[in-house]
Amino acid sequence: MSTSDRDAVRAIRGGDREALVHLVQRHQGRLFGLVLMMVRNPAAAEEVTQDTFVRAYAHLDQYDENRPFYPWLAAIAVRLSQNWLHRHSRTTRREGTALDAAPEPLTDAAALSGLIASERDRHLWQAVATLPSGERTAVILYYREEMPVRDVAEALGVTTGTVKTLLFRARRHLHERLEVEDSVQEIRP
Amino acid sequence: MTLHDRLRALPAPALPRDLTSDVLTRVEQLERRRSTPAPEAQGMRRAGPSRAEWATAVLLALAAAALGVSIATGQLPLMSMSGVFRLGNLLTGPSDLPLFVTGLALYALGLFSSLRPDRRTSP
Repeated sequence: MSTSDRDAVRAIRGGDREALVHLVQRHQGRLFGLVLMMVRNPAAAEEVTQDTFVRAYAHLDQYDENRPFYPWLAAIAVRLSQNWLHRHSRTTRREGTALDAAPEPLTDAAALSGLIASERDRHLWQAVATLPSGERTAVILYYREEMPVRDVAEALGVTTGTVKTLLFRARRHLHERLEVEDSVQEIRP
Repeated sequence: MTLHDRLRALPAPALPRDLTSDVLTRVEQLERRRSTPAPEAQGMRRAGPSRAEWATAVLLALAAAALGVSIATGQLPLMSMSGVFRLGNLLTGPSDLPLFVTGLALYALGLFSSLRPDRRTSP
């Protein structure tokens, strides 16, 4: 945990609620990106991001100061996002892991795309967004959040072997989708 | 650029607005709820019955219904222990059921009276 996070957590535990401002401002952007990729709905992502901070504040006594703060926060966000997906599901499907059992709501692709400036990045986001929830979350935590496999496994509540499998499948799916997309772009005048 | 590199460089979507004030407001609400004692702690009766009270009520209702049916069919003209025994014999043949039903009803009555919440109200 960075010194500033540790100081903020100690201050909050000591009754200084204003120290929460530091944690929110430091992590809200990164956390929003993670949650958005899971729930794929900007309004819901804001709601779940807020819920995550409130939940973390309420259970701060359970946090181990010797471990980094963000993975603990991300684990809460992942669980709340999964709950949100369950509550707002329209279909139920099962894809091999407990995580993937979380059904998916419809993707608001236009709203998602509006948040990404670069067209190339937008294509990659959309390809990642179409992955099953388990693969998608593993990719975001491992690559963009740069969390080690062990922390990703803890956040998802699965084994490290399952995380490696999810990442392998995700890379294969992304390769397929991006190849198709690149071939379509080459055909365009 | 490999897929690994592209994924690592995947940008975070911009957060549409600062969530700090919303989070602080919700934390304040949480703290207010925490600092307000629950109605039970203030000696007030809570709004609805608990699961144990519901279960007791259902058991009593079943026992009462069994006795009511037996009285209505003329099998148990008198509300007595022997009547309960006769009802049990009527329903299942000679067995330990009447004793069980009677014990269950008495147990439920005891449980219900012990579970009745404190009706005192706060000053």
